[in-house]
Amino acid sequence: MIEIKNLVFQYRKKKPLFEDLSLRMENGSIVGLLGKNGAGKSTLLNLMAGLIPLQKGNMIVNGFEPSKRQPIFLADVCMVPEEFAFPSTTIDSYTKATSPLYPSFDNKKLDRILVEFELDRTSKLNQLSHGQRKKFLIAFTLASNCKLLILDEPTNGLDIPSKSLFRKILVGSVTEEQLVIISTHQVKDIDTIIDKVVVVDNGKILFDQTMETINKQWYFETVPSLKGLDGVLYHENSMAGYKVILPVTDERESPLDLELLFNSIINHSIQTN
Amino acid sequence: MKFNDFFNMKRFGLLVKHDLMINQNKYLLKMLVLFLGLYAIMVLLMFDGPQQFIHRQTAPQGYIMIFVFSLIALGVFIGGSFSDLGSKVKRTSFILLPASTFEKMLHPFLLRVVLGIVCYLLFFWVDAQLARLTMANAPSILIQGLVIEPFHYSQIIDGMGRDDFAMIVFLLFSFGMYLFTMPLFFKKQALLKAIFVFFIALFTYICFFSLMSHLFHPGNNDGLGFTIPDFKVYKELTSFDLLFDSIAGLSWMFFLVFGYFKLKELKL
Repeated sequence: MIEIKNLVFQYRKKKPLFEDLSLRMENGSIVGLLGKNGAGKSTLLNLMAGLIPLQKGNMIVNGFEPSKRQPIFLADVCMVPEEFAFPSTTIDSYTKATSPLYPSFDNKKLDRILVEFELDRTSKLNQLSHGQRKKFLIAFTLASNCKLLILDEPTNGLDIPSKSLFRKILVGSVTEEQLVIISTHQVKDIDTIIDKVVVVDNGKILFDQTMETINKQWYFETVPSLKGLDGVLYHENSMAGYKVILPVTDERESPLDLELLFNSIINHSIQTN
Repeated sequence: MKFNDFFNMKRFGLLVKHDLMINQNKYLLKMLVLFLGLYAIMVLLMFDGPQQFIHRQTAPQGYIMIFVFSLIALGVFIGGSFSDLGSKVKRTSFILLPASTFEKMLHPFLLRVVLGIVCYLLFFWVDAQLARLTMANAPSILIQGLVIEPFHYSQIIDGMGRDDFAMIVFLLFSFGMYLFTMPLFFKKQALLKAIFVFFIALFTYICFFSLMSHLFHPGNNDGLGFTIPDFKVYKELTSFDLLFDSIAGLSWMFFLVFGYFKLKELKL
């Protein structure tokens, strides 16, 4: 579980990135962290992982203060950073060397995911393509069984079949004790797997809702024309006419269009927090 | 803070195993380069000036000279302890490794400093014996009929002076600890910057002494020369000895503590 209260953060010689940011995320969910470029998504993830120290406010992750970097805390946090590097070794050697540092690591689970991602334990990490290395990193992270999994742009560099495999594997691997935070610009890659949407903008949490709440409040639809439509909250031109967000007035539900929802939030067309 | 948050033997063992499994080839290559490099230098210098390796009134100067200069290689090895931290990507992996800051500092200290020094001393001794054996089988004309003296560490101790040996060792160790911790302060080209800063600091120190000497002892010194008036603190111990011994004997502790806190506060 993550609890952030009144977080203030500022990089040197820059305007404050977060001012009085508060947020709560419960275990047993997959959270999509969205925001424009420079909104502070990666900074927020780095703060949660203890990679950068807290300046002001409180942050508790799984009962620990991340910036203290206690080994027990670090053993329960696994991250797929946007940029990564591997030593010149094989998948097998890397796994044998690194996995014992994570007490809950499941080697069988890793093997299963590696098979699904078509990766071989004998492959040399530095001879794999960027996408293959990313798939291994995702596989390792999921097999770590850490309580907090932080995935920063996990689908960047993955081909289309791998993206759907990633979604399938992630959903099948996460337990009720885990919290997965995915930060991405490629919202279509995650719109079917997340339980909660958090949007960061201008140093604040602009939107923080579960999928259940979203489905109860808004209806996403593509219509040929806006004529005759009442109560359109937000619309965008599309090839088939218009993509619209409407308030839910009856029992009907629609598949989430995360990109449309995100744009509407950023344009303040939807009243959020 | 619980002791387990600071140090855990099992976790430390796993951290060392992790590093050795991943970097074993790199370490073996470095050891091989050091071993063969020392051997090659010794043989070359023995051919070039065999008289440097025979015992006259003093210990064979050739061994002492190679020992002193090859310490640079050891310094570079020790100075490479945290060199990966210059890269943001590697810094991320390092910080996220599930181990305490103390363990993350102790591990390169044991591997690079303790094991590095032991291997260096062992390799130097073995190479010196091997080089001498090589020369013993070389045609006599090449080494001007001289018999190369066997190497003993007592020759190095004698060469440095038995009275000052302990302090010289401490001084070298302190400089080693300076090189060990400085990469934590510089992100790129850490070793070069550390050496540059060392010479800047040394020059500033000399300038300060010189300025004080010109102010308080006018006419006694020219240019950057300086006078340090010393007095006996205790029996044969002068105030200058005390200053030198304090710097040599204590600064390594300062660097280690300073480095620990810098590592603790390491960020992206």
